[in-house]
Amino acid sequence: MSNVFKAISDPTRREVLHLLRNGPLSAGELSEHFPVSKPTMSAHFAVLREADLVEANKQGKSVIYRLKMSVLEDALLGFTGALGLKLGQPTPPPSKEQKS
Amino acid sequence: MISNKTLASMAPMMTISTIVLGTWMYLLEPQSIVRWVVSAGFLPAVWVGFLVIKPWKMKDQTKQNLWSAISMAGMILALALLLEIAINFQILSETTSTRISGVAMGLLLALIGNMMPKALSPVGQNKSNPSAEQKYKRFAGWVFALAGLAYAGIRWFAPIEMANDLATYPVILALALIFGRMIWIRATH
Repeated sequence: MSNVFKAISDPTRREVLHLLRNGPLSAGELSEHFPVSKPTMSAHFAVLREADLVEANKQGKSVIYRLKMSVLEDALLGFTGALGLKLGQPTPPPSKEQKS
Repeated sequence: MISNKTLASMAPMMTISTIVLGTWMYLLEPQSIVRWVVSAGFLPAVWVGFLVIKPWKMKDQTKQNLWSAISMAGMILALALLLEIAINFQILSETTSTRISGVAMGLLLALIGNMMPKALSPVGQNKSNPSAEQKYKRFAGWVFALAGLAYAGIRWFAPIEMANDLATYPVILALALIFGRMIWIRATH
């Protein structure tokens, strides 16, 4: 359970979980929503996988992430938002100038 | 909350518990031998039955689900036997025992609902829309978990003569919602 708390304590990882609520997404599609480097995103994905909150499957060249949260974990994620740790709107993908 | 892995690892312990408790009940009430033989022998019979389907050839996840199911069955049996022993030693009244078993059933339903969204279909096996499947499992999980908690609450707090009937309503409502949602998804996707 400590892995779960560690995973949902970070706003980026919480935002990843919120994005995955709408359905499976590739690592690239998820990364587009965050102005952080690919290695940083990979580290976030690793923490989420370790906590068993997401499942990664390789399809061709891309890795597809699926939400794998129990009702209790889902509720915990909701509570973190309700307890003042509320997430803002998903970060818009950085423009090409920002990326380069 | 107990993980599926932990639950699976408890299967041998739960089986032994039911054998011990069933034997104890036989010693206390030898006249009801059939009940206690069935209670003590059910899980060992299931283990023997599994040898036919060769569980060692199964995928790890399937095996884990199988042992989890044995553990849950063991928990229900062990609790029922413990309650019988408690009644026998006049530690609990029949009413309290009925309430406890009702609460346990409700919590078990909530536990099953809790794990439902975590049980993902293998990639490629699911021919329908994966987003719709994920949303449906989340919905069903939440509905079952809440219905289980409502069932447990009603079985504990409602007047004993109507608790059993009242407690079925949230479960019926949950099933109606889940089937309704399934029909709606099939119609719209």
